Amino acid sequence: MSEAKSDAVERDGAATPTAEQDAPRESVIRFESVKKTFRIPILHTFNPKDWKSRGYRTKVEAVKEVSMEVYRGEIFGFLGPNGAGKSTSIKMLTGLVRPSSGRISIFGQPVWDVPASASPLARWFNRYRAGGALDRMGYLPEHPYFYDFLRPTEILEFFARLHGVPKARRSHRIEELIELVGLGHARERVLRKFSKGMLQRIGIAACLINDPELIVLDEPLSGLDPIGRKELRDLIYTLKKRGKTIFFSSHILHDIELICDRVAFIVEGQIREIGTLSQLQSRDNPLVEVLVHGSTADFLEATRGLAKSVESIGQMTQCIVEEPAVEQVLRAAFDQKLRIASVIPRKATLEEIFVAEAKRKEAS
Amino acid sequence: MRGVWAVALNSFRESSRNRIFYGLLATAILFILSSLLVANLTVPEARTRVLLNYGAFSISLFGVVIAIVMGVIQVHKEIDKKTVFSILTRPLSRGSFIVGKFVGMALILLVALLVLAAVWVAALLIDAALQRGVLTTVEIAPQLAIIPGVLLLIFVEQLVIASFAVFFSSFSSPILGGVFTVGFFFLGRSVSFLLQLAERGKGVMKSPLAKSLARAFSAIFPDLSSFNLSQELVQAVKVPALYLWHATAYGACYVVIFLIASIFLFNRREFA
Repeated sequence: MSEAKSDAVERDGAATPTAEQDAPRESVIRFESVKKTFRIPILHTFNPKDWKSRGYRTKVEAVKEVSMEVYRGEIFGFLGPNGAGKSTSIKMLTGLVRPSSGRISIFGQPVWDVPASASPLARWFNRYRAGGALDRMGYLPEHPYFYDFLRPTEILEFFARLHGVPKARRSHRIEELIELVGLGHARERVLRKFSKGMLQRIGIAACLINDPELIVLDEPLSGLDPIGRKELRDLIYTLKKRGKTIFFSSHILHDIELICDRVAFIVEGQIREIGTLSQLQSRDNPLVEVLVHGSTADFLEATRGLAKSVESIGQMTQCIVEEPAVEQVLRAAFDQKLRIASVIPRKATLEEIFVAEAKRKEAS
Repeated sequence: MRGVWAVALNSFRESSRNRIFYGLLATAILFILSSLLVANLTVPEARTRVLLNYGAFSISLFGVVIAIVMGVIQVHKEIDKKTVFSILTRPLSRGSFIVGKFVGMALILLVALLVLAAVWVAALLIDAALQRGVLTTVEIAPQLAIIPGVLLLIFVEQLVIASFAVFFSSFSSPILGGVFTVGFFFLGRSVSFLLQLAERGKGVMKSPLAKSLARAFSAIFPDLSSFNLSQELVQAVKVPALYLWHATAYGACYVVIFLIASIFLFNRREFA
């Protein structure tokens, strides 16, 4: 864990603009004004007792507007509360859901168009998808599930065949991946007997079977125990070192904070923020933590409007305030004759940025 | 083609380890073997006829049940359990996926057919040996010669039903798909009978509407009774090779139509 954190700090430090970063980077994933509206069968929402109010919906806008780019070699975190449109966006990227409008491309190749050069039969069979880019991508769905009665080697062989991995390399690759995800002991067990975490591991192995350049992970850390999460974080970072591009969504913000180069927030189907962690952290006024011994009712009253949060921790009172308000909080403490324990500048955590974004959206 | 074969092989492997499949297969084997007991209740002259009829009926019936159950479950389970998420995001077209699932099912049906046919023929030989005290095929040789043709058409009928089940499971629930496929089977089996009634114009079939309906059904639904050679088998009437070819081509046309319709619908599906 400490290793991963030190790596993250190192990358975070490197995330400040440099001449290298200013140079144009190769776009691996590109969303251009992508929207998705799902139609709901009218019978699902129509209330015959209240038909006059037309309170029934026939459409749901799952993704209102998504435009973003993911560059080669980066770990990109895709964040958002439940129902924000993360999974729908990922499914449009992987060809499972068709966008209502906009354009998505992987390695410059549109996901939802079939090249005009394809034969009429191929065009008909592949009507909505171009398969070329998918050969260079690995995808781990949320809560992966595989065939009950197959063994890990058999399911990996199946995916290897789909990607056309040559027979000579297939068994070596499968063994390598089984060891990589730590399932050597369960090689002969059928998948029906696998725990959720083990299925997640086999899903990761299946995702890497074609040695993809782009890896798309939908909530990869859910279902894993702390050790499994650390191992996966390390694996993701190792893949990045090998030049892979990783795009992943997660609710576990701490993990994203540790390994992501850039993150995007999606709230109610719209991208609210994109940037490196340091860019997002320095976007608002910097925060300062003021720790005071004891507390009085007047002090609490005085700080209520100034501080972002006021919390009692044992005998101490912790106030998180924006930099311009520090002086006023300190003055309020002095007035109440409270002793100042510490004044520490503090970077906003990803969680705080995330909650602030969600609240801002609610307020608007 | 690579994708079709990979899906087919995987589908076959998964189905071949499914307990439902083994349950149905074991029941069918018991059913065929029980014909040896049933034959004892008949007059000696009718023994072979009972064994032939019983065996062909069991293979056909259980084959159809396996085709319906597996066909309805196959595609729907992939969607329900979300295994399609991991498959359709690979370089594989949706059409190849549907065709692959169907080929996998055809393989499992073929295995079931061969196992049941082996049990059936073994039952016939055992009965002949028990009756005459010596293992001989002389008396049932004409019927044995017809059996490959009978099995071929039973298999074609199963494929037609399986393709219809795949068609339904590509857009509806397994229960609905199962009900419709069973209905399709009974309708298909009675199409020629309905048409005969309409031509004769007796009973309820007197009205022009009933006649038109019967003709419409016969034009839309496959006449599954054309795959039933039980009469020819019992009477040891040789079936012309041309008939077998025609019936196979007739069934293949329906399989292709249902698979194209399945692909058409599956291509439009969204997996949200």
